Amino acid sequence: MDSVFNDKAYGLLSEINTWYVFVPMLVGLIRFKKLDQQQKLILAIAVLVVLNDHLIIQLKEASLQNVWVLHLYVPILFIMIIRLYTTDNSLFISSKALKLFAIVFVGFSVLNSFLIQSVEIWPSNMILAASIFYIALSVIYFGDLLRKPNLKPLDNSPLFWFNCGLLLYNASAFLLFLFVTNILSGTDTVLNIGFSLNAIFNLVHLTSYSIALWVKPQA
Amino acid sequence: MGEASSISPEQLLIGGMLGMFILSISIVVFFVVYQRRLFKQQQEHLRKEADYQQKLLRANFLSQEKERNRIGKDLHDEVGAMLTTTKLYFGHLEQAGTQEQFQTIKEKTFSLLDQTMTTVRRVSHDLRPVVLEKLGLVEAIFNTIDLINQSGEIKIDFHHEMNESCHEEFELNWYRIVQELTHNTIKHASAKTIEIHFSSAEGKMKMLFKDDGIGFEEGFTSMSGLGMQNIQSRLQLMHGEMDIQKPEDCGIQISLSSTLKPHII
Repeated sequence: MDSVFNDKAYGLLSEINTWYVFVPMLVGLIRFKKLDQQQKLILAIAVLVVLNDHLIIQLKEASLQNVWVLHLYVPILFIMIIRLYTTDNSLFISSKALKLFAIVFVGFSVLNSFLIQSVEIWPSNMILAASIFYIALSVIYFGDLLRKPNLKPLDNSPLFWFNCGLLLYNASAFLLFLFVTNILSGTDTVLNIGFSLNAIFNLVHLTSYSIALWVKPQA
Repeated sequence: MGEASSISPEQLLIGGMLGMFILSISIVVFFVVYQRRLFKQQQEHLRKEADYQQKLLRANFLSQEKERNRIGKDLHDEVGAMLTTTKLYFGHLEQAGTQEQFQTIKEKTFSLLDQTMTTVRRVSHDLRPVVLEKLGLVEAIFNTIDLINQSGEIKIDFHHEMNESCHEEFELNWYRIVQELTHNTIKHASAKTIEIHFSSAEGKMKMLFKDDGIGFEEGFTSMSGLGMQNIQSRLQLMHGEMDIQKPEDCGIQISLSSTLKPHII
């Protein structure tokens, strides 16, 4: 198994991810006129993901410090995801509570970036906290869908597909986020395995964004 | 212990991450399957509900049509015939030779007109009983029961504890329900006694109907027959419900309940 996740495999998966990240954004732009409010927010998230990934790559290629991008990306993504879930009025957690979570998380991110993990250090605390929140939010969303008095087919629900991706990616990469400090200081093999698997899960994640932007929502 | 230490950090990471991936996939699959099943059940329930509503609507139309036919028949066969005869008598009045003949025909004409007026009143009372309008539900039921009890064929006991008044539209519905149930018992149950108990309290109207007849056939439901469908339809208009039982000691026992006033939306 270790031999599968070597430098070459990781390099290939990273390359695929670099280009695959454009897919949701392109799907969203092609179908832009037909997108509903939720899908437009998902498109905004997809654009943010592209900007983040490519800014990190450009800075790395220019041999410049790029971790600070993540310190900005994680809270912005958090706010956008919260904004997306507040469009579903029937959610068990009220829109006010979600907004409060967003404020608390942004506050925590600022404190973390300035006092705990500087902008030059991988923001593992923020990523881990966000990941725990996303897992809880997606499970609650599934539970709420079952409690709705008028059930609807899910195939055409953008938020359902987005939620699937959010749960699959964050639950799968959770251990990576949890032990990222140990992994970064570990051997190359562990590093390759961790980040190769993360790249695979990210493909699943981006596919779910693409489906969410591709489906025709019900009126 | 030795085996546990042989698991490398790489294996632990792969196992952990793949395990979490499989777990989250399982949650999604379970959710999708379960949601689809619930959705299917809900669709089935909605379909049944729509069928039920359609049945009630049909029963409503049929009973309206039946009522129109009855009124039409009463007007044509009785009022129409009497008016035709009266017209004939008026024709004879012109031809009456003597004062005595004139007097006789005039009396017959007046008598026919009286009968016609009585028939028209009866038809009109059947549409909206005057006693119900003037004295209320309890008196209207007593009045109906007295008429049936006078026949000596069956005995109806009526008791009531009306602590709150009922909306007049609902009173007519309850009156028709009593009529329908007693009519059913007299026609089909070969019963000797009927017990009717009415009560109203805390915004609810309740009725218990019991007879000592032969009970109902197997497969009988609240939707069996036009009469029962009409009762169900009336109850639904009053946000009410019906529970039919067949106790050991009596033929049939029906509990009915409704609100006292229409819901204002």
